Amino acid sequence: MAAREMRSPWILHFDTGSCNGCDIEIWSLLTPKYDVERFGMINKGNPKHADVLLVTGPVTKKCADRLRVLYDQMPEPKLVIACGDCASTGAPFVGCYNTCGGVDNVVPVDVYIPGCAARPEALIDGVVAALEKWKQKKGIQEVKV
Amino acid sequence: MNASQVVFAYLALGLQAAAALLLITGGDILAAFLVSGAGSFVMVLGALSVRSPYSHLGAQRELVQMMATEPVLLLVVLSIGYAGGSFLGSEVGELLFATLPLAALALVPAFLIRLEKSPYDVATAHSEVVSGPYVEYSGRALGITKLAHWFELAVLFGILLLLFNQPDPIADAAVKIAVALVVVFAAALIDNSTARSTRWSLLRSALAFGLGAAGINLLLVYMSTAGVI
Repeated sequence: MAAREMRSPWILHFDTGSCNGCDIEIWSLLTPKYDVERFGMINKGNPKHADVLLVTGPVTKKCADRLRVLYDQMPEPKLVIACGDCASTGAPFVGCYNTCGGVDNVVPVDVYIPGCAARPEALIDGVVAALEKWKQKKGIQEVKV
Repeated sequence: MNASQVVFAYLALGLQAAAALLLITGGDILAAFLVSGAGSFVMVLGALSVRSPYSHLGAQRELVQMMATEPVLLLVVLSIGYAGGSFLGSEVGELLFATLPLAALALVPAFLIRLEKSPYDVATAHSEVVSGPYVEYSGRALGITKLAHWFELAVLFGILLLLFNQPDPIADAAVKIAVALVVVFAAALIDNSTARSTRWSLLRSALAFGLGAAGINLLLVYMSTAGVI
């Protein structure tokens, strides 16, 4: 059962004040060119159904509470992926009065994906890397035959 | 999600699985239809047992969908019983499709509704009410509701495929697999070529089409048995 869950990581995407560059790359994952549904990744609009939270943007102070609420509503074990430079480090808005300076200042992050904007290939790699981490969280042991 | 919602999810699974089992083992089609309907109603109760307005909206829409599908399904099951000579799945006659072609056609809206396809995906409407009655479920309980939904679909497919019984077992399996594939393909085609309808136009069109087609077919069968035509 747990191993099967690995094949269907449902995704929730939240934009916390991004320029939309990373968001467009995330949406391109759903197009026939990248087609992430072949990995079982389905974009859901509901945090209660999602396993992976893809966050873009440096997290504006207005968005911080909303991000925390979405994070709290997701069932365990959950993964958070910071997509792009803004979400990973807050750059180029570091020290700006209206941002929190990255996702990890608000909720714990499992995987950081660099790039401005993050490339779709990097996003797929990031989710696959996150799934490895998920395996550890769920305590799934690889069975070698 | 609360404890009562989880209980409703398990209850829905039990009822739908029992209905599917009844059909698969050649039991009473009418009983399978009613038990499956009870399962759908339990899902509505589950959606109403939480405080989320989205869940309530989904539950109300699910009730509208049930109003559109259940009378048509009942009429089709009654037609199968009348034309096939028995309500027992194992005793229903062969090649019923030749007698009841319109009854099979009447199930098209029911399939679109149960497969959650446009124009009749009003309850789970993605990007509108997210997932309707399922909105508050999460984790294992969500999986249970999905499983219940698959059993519900199995009952619907079971009723349709009874119309395509063949004398030869190999031909029977081949024809039924082909029909199931055609239904799934047609649903995908309709889904991609139509926009979502409103709930009242769903009720009007699905009910009028379904009851009309199944009713006319039943009338024709009755008239031909009575020797009028």
